Amino acid sequence: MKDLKNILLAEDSPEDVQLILTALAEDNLANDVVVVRDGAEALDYLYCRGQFKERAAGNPVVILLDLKMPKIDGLGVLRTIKADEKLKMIPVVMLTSSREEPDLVESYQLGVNAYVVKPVNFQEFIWAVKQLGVFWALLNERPRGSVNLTK
Amino acid sequence: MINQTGRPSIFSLRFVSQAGSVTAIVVGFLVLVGWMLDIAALKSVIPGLATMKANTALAFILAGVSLWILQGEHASHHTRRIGQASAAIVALAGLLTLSEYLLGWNWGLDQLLFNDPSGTVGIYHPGRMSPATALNFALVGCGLLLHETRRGMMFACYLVLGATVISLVALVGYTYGVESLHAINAYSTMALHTTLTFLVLCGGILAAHQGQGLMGVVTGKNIGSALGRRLLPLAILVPLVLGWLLVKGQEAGLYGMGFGTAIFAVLLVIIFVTVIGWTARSLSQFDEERTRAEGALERLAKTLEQRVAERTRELEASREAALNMMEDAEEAREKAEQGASAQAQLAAIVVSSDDAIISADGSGIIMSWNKGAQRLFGYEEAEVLAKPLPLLMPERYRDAHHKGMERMLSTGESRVIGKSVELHGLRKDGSEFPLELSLSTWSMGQRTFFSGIIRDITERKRAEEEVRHLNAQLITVNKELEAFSYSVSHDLRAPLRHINGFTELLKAHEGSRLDATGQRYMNTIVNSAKRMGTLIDDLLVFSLMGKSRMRTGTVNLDTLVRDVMNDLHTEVNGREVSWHVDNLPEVYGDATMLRQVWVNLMGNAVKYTRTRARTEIEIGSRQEGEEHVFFVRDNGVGFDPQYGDKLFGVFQRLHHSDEFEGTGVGLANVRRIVQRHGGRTWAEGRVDSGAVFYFSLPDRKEQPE
Repeated sequence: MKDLKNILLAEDSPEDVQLILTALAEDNLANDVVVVRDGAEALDYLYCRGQFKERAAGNPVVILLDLKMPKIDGLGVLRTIKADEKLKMIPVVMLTSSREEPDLVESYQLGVNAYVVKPVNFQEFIWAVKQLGVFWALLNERPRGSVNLTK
Repeated sequence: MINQTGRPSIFSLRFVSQAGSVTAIVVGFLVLVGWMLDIAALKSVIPGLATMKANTALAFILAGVSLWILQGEHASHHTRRIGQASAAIVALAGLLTLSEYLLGWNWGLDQLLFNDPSGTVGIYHPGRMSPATALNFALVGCGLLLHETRRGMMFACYLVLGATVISLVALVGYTYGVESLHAINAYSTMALHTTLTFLVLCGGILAAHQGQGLMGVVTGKNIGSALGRRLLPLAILVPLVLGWLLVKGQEAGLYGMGFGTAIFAVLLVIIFVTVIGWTARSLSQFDEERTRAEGALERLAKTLEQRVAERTRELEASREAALNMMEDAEEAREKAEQGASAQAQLAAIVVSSDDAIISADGSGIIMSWNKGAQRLFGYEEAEVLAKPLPLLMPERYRDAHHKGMERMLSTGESRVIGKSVELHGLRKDGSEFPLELSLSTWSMGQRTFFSGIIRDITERKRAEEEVRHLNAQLITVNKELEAFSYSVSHDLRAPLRHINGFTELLKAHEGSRLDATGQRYMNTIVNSAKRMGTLIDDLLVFSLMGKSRMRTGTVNLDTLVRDVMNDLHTEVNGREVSWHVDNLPEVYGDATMLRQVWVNLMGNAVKYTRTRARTEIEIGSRQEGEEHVFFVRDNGVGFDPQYGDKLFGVFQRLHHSDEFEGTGVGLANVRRIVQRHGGRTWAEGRVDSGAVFYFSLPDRKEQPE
């Protein structure tokens, strides 16, 4: 079984998606990004259902979750992932517009692996996303079991 | 048997002395009469025997008179002098006569009264008393003289006893008819009645001592004196009588001298053995009786002791009982007094109270009703007395009331006694009103009573309702505000980020093709977006200051202000800034929030002095009543006082942003934080003359939220 070095990005704002992809492209990570537009799609992808029924097996190396999304928000997705024995080892990074204390606390209580506030300044934003991509997709090591596809 | 009561009484002793005195006087007179009328029987009793001389008779009369006076208890001082003078004359007469005998002088005393015819028996010197008589008078006279002095009493006794012995010897001579005895020169002329009179006189004198001196030996009340009284007469009489019988027997030729003496000795032995045996028996009987009496006495003493102890215990107990009763009575009295005063106080309270005060008995029958109750319920006192309590309550409470009363009376438990409960009351007009009831219970004898204080809480209820409503509104508004700020932070920031991002991307992509004007437009878009980002961030901080929980504690403002000064270091770089910071007190509050206050005020001071060549910033505090007032004074650009109120409003600025950057949120934050600490904020300033910003914090240890 081949390891998929892909990143799952759940983000409802197409502008943000474009900015994030622009940032990741600078390190040639953009081609490995799977983009979903809300929490429900994110879970469909992870459980290989709906439109992702036929996708190649394997878990993403990291999940970037926007907090505010239609249908199921970031915290809801996080809760499901961390409650699932087969998904809980996938690193999850919260990407959000502001650092609201209650969101932070709840995320960490649910077992989030990182929490990043999107900087307003473009240069800082680009820098932050690049760091994330490089760290989680290239530097970070994870147990083999976490990449096993669940069907 | 020897009886202690056998002691001679003072009366009988006095009789003896009076008898001695009278005898001496009478005999003296008779003898004088005998001399005057020449009656031989009076002069010498038995004719042929020696006569009593006239001066002897006179001396007897004087001695008798002296004894009479001296033995009397009530004799006056003057009379006693006469008695003493008489005694002195008697003693003098004796001594003078003796000196005549011894020295051969003649004082002319002998023939002073009567002429003694010569040739009388045994007379060498006619009319002169015999030497023995003279000696006796000297002894008796001195004895009488000494009688007066207490110390001389004992000596007087010896003198008189001496005279007695001399008289006895003479008497024995007469009775035994022993020639040799009264042939002795000294005795030869002591007449028989002189001898007897001496004996009686001496007895009288000794009796006059009344148990004092030597006489005490026989007149005392102890057993020794009793024995003395019993044995003394025997000791005197028995040998005399026996001796007389012995002599008479010998004279009659019944037995010879040796045999007579033997019989005399044997008889003496027999008599004295008998007397001693008898006495010993009496003594032992007496002793036994005494022992018995002592035993009885001891028993009696013990019984008495017991009785005394018992009685003492009884008295003690009854005393204690009495004390207890007194204490109880005192307590009861105090209680009664306290009770009375408490009752008066209570009555005054009940009458004057605005609250309704109602009491009821155990079955819920109304017993008292005050004016407050009348105002509250609308009933007159007469209308409700002896009526049941449920009259005053709406239908829905009556069931619970009855059950509660039953439970209270049967188990003593109650859900309402001693507490305040909120219920509804029923007025006379049928309307209901909310009330607060404080119920208490008390007992009198076996009966239980209730009393309730009832307060109309209509107003309070209305106010409470209003507060509750306002609170609910506030909570709603707050929630909306929270949602708003959340939305601001998330939703307003995202497009801002996009403007920023895409402007940058556009610059990177098309930058080289834009002319100078196009470049300027691009920069304006970027700057505007940045500025809006800052505004949003500040606004978020401001809303956070309003709703975040305060973490209060003691805050050292000296340290805090010094830290803020260090943080401002980069801002003042290259400028000449002089800080004057006073000592600041410790306050109670949220350190993070208070730091925000100082950051804003000190930051402003630094910012608005930027145009000054030399910056002066002064920080200090003062105590004003219940609060600390802090100030930050600068020599900066100041402000127009007519806009002073706007300074602390959100987004309010008095300067253009091209002069001094800023969003206008800083002082709004200061005000919000200070108000949450219970303090105030204000400012003083004039354009171009610097500004002073003040805030106060309450001087207290507890911080209300």
